Amino acid sequence: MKRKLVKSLIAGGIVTTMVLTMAGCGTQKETSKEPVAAATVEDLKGKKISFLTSQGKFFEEYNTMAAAMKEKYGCEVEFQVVPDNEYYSLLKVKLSTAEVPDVFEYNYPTHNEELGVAKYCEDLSDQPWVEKLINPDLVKDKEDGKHYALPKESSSTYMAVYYNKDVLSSCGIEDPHPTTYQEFIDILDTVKAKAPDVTPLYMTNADTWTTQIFMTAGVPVTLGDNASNVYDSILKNETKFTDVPAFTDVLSDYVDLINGGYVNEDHLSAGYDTAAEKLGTGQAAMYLTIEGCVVDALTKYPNANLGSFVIPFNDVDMLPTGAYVQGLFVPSEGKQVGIAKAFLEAWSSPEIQNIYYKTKPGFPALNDTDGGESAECIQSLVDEYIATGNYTYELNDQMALASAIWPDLWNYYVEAASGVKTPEEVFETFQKQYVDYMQQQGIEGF
Amino acid sequence: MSKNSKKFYPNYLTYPAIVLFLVFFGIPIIAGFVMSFTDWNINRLYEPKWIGFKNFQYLFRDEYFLLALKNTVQFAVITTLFIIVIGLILALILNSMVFWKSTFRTIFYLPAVLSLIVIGIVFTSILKMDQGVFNQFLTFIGLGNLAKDWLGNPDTAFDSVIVMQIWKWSGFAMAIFLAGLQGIPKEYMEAAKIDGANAWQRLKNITFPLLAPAFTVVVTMNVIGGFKVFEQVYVLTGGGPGNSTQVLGTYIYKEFSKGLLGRSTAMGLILFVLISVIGVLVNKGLKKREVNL
Repeated sequence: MKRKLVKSLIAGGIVTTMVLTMAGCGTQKETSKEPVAAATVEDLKGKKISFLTSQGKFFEEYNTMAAAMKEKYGCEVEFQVVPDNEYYSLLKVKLSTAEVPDVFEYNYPTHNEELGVAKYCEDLSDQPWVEKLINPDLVKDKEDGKHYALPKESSSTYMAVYYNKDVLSSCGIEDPHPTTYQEFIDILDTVKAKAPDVTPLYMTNADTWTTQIFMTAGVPVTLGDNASNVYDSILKNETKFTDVPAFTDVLSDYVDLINGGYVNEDHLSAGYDTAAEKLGTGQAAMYLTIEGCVVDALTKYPNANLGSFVIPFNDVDMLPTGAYVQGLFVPSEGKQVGIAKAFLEAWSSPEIQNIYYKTKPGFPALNDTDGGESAECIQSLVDEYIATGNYTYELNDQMALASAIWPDLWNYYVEAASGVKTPEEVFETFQKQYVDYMQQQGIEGF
Repeated sequence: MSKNSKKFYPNYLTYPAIVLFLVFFGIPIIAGFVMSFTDWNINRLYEPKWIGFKNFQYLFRDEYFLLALKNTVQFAVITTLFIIVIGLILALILNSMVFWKSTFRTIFYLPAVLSLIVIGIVFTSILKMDQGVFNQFLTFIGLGNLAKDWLGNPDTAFDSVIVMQIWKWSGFAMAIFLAGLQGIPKEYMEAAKIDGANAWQRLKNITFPLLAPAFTVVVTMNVIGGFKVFEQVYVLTGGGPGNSTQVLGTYIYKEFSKGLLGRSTAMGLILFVLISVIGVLVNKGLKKREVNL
């Protein structure tokens, strides 16, 4: 009898736990979009602002900016810096459960839909800094045209080959500007032949986000005018990755660079943090990267003489660039939404923004910020390609709905780079995973 | 006088611990068990749907999960074997030493107390291709042709992780074996010697049987530790190059980071079951062989 009772109690306990667990999952907090008490920058005094960002987005300059905020406005900034590969899931959980910081930083506006910013974040279109935006069209939401974040830059992510001019000069190459893919290979061949101690093209496949630059840059250029149709079709599950030859073609080009002996032998274990030194000191002649690496190299090696050129994928001379910048969002469920908006107003002021651009010259989002003098090799790309409209947006941004599984694809690229998979196998594997992921997200058509 | 008052410590003193255990272990395990049968993911945090065995079906068709499973089993088996052999040899040598015993014991035990992060950084420096200590050593002794990118080569990256684990835990196994050896009465050995038993016979018939409890501890700990492998891979290779060093721990972490909570919970459940079953079997099997002094 007693045994039976114990058994019943255990069974009841388990059932209750299960029911409570499932029931607990159903108690979703509804996001409220109630009117927010307005605040001004004067109200920031004595306040503490929680600022969520990830390691890759955080810069030492932020601490200096925070110190200036404290001095000028009397508010403290508490940075919460999360590892890059945990940031997306943590952010999603925080937004879903309304356990949010006052402000958070994320790619903007390409990831608006994926993040659900229209649901979870404040519309900032009426904020005073909006009229100072240099490139408002880039950052407004593609669906509703609203502004959901304070952008940091007016444009960013110029994917090009940055090279050491002294090394190329020593090989007899001055101001290279390849207009066909073969001309790019010819440059590599020349360096390989004339400077045997130098790595013609440095690769850092230990950091897979650097591996994928070749693909995210090369595919849209190769697809040309058809790019958006292809992305759209894949996103609707009408076309498979394996149906589009551009994917395997560009990846094959990447693998050929390795097989051709143009890259460093340790490309599979070398990481991005080693690239600035290799490029700055001339141990490597060229590196396909984004402008951040150049800023790092020039900070560490101010005498380095760097240039840049675009890889003419499919013989097209066009700059692949990011369709996003970094943006500071205000979650609607924050404890002090009005204060957070006032914080953005203060953060956007030239005195604060100039601190960042003083040591990291670039292209600020606001017209009253002094962006400083950009490195000549970056400025030349902006002048030649961005200013003339001769650019295309990278693959990743156009298919941001699947961005959570991009890192898996990048790992498969590395498998192709190490010979474990062929380019065709890479996209066969990824196609299955893509369909599964989109099904899990409940995307229509999958 | 009540039954409880006869005891030195009444039962109710355990209640807080039981509550904590249930809240932080029991309930999460049950919740995890339930959630592994749902499509719970980060975009539908509050709307998990019951999908039966679909997560498990997917996983056992997923080449990377199977690779991670294979790597995990391989890691647990190989590291346990080597740790036992090396630990035992070190213990036998130290047990027979008269001088410097404490010094060597400390040196061999030292890796066990070092942080895995520190060890990861040290091994990365040793094994890297460009100016790595190991490659320089190979070049120095005239074997430069063997130098390679140990952590960047899919054929050697996982071996490097295994070597790091063996290096870290052999000293710990040595300490346990040494304690076991020192607990064996000298009279047994002396009697066997008088009876004409040679060194191998003494080792086989006296030392090994009496060391069985130490074997139980070392094997159980290393098998379980081996299946739980995560940091070792995370700090040294991050699961790469590509996915070549992926183990269950890192694969679960990767899937969880993507927001596939139901799927990663299912993987966690598989790992939990695997560790529990193997842990119990190993422990039971070895306990049977133990000999009381």
